[in-house]
Amino acid sequence: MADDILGEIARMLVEVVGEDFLQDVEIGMDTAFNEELALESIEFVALAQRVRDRYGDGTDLAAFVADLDLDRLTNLTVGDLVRHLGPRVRPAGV
Amino acid sequence: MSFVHTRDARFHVIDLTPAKPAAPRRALRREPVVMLHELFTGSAASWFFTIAPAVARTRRVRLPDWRGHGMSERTATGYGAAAMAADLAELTADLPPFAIAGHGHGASVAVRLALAHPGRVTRLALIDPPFPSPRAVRPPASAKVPAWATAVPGAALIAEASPPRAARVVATAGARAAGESRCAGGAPLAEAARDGAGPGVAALVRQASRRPDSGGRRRLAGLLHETRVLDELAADPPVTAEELAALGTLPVLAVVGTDSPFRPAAEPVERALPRSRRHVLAGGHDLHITARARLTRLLTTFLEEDTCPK
Repeated sequence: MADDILGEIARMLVEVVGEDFLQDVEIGMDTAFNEELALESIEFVALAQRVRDRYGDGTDLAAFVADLDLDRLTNLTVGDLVRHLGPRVRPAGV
Repeated sequence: MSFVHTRDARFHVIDLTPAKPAAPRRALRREPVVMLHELFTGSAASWFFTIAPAVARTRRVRLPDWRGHGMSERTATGYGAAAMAADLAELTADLPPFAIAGHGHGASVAVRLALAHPGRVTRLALIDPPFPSPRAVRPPASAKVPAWATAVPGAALIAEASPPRAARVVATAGARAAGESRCAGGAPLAEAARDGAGPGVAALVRQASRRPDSGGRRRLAGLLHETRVLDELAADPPVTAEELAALGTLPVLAVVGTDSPFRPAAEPVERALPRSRRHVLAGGHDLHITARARLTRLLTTFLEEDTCPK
């Protein structure tokens, strides 16, 4: 399940940022949005929209991000996002 | 919705809705709120990472990127307040009557939209709007400095010393300085981060991308150098006391910063709209960052005064 979500997030990141910027980066659970991907704020918003479109309103990424403290937000990883989504995403066919 | 083609451009629009478990049906029947960002350094992310999530707990929130900003298309023209109000009318055409929270130039566009489309806007929150005070000293006629440029430290000094073509130079310098200080993680954001202004600060600091040709920098440079935005803003008449008075009984909240060059804007609002609510918060122009918690409370309280029949 987590692998599925990770794959989806990686695909969405390519859509948002473009392959050129990500060609030297292997996106994994420990990949940091800020430090490694240098994702801009509007790009993260676009990613959040794609997550909502894919997984529904229950993912509520805006509230998730708003509740994070400064350190956690600065060091947010793809894995943090995947773990947030895990319980909120129904496995296919359920 | 994510992208909307309307008028002559492709716009990026974010919609936030209350998460289902915490959203009684009446929340979605409340009037929506459209939150408008400041020009140049702003985008839908300015609200997304600061105040919009709290507002979206109880009602639908729409966050458009202005043309040439965020992920909306850049066009050569269309950056005056009247044109932007026409954009906004199209981008909100599917909504029932709605409230607006506008920051900086976004507040000016909000006023123009409310006047052009009576009945569409139910209440207005003007966050550090660039409305001129009647007592303000006018800049020299040769230096038509757009109001927002005065928000940039040093812009006034540049204006004093500038040659006849000051408008473009000053405006460009102002926007560039704003870009360096606010978009690229300079002093104001660093100070805000040190003061624990809120987690959204870190996200905005991220605009200081280490990618040398990052999208944000490219977008700002393209907007400044490949469009008529500076000329159009320089020629744009500021919102007048008469226009404010014409808002009539529309509920208005005005919030300005103690250290903002737009602090005097509270005065024309008070004169023209004595029933409006006015607050001064500690901070500069970017109150959504530096005074996030207090501005959130003011805004949510103001919106809860919604008396529309449900």
